[in-house]
Amino acid sequence: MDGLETLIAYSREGLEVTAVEGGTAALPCDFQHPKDDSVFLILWFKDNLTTPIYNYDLRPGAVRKRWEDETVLGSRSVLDVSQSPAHLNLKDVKASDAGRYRCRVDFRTQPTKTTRVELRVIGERHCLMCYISNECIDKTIGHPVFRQPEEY
Amino acid sequence: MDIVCGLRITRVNVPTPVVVNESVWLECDFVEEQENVYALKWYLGLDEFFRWTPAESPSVKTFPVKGNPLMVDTAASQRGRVRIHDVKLGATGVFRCEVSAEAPSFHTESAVATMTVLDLPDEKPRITGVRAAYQMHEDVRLNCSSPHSQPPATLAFYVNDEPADPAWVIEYTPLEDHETGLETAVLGLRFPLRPRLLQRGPAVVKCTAAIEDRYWESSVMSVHSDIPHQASIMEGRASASRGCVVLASRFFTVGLVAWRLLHLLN
Repeated sequence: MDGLETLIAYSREGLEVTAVEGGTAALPCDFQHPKDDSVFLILWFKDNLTTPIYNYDLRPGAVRKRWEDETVLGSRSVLDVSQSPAHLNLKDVKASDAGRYRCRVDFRTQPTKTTRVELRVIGERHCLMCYISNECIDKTIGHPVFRQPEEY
Repeated sequence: MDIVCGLRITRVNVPTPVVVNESVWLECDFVEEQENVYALKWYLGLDEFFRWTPAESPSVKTFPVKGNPLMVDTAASQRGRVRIHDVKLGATGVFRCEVSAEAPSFHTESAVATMTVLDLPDEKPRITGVRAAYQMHEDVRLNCSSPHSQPPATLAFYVNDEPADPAWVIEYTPLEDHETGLETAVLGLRFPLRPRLLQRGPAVVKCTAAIEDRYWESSVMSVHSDIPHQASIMEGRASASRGCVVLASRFFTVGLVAWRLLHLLN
């Protein structure tokens, strides 16, 4: 991904990701497990929706492995499980994408892992400073948001 | 999109309060309307401890929770109903039942219920500090403690079966045992031993200890005056601070009269 658009911070409530409108958001999801275990299912939920907006079904015999709710995500999302944590990469971020996301990972033998992420979306003009320094003054929240480490 | 009809939870029930070492049923009832269950999970806080996946074998899986406050009876548990043995204090918290439908929707509902686990006191409340005898009008000071419980017991004093005057009662912060997390509730009582309290013999102090509606115990102690009041007047032995007694002995030589006057004064 092209780096500057997604910013990440840790708040008291959990992970907070800030993305620029029109850019890309990378929402992390912890799916780490011991070698002798395996992932059965990854479900992404948004806000209070009771059906997942994205699912990745790795159970033996699953008919359809990947599915996204196009009414919420369009066809803008890709789940990257090539590294840990996994990321739900969301292209062309819209203001309506802001909200609380929850990634639930079901394993074959381990207990379920849930990662909670708050996605904040800021207008492009608010973030011009990103290109000048490593700090982005987010006018919507009034305090600096620091650039994430490179791996994000 | 939210599905209006389909899999839904109809009832979640977790008993509360429960006492340490008790066995309980956790109940999560649901209806499957056109959707089958892929997984039903129970969480304590954020930790999953029970999973029922009907398509898998075995269908029931359990997971340890930090501190092992729950022992799931795997054989007795099925669907949303979970049998727990030997509940520990660490099981106090929010229980969440989460039910997910099979693919393709994976429609997921959850509901929560809170459980409080009580650890009851080791023994009856203990009254300490009572001396063998007191002089008339002397301050009686005593404490009542209810050892090792969670939460600390609520203590109350009664004197001659009447609630103690709030001005006599001294509140203390419970003492915490840092190893077990259990607390000892302590309440103090300080009152002047007035003749009124001794009309029917020694004053009787009762301390009661209660925890929610699961525990109630009491202890009783008698408070005696050291010398029969009449004799002290006759012999003029009352100390100067007991002014009315001294005066009485000067003006009345017949002890019985003094005894009556004292009752009037008090």
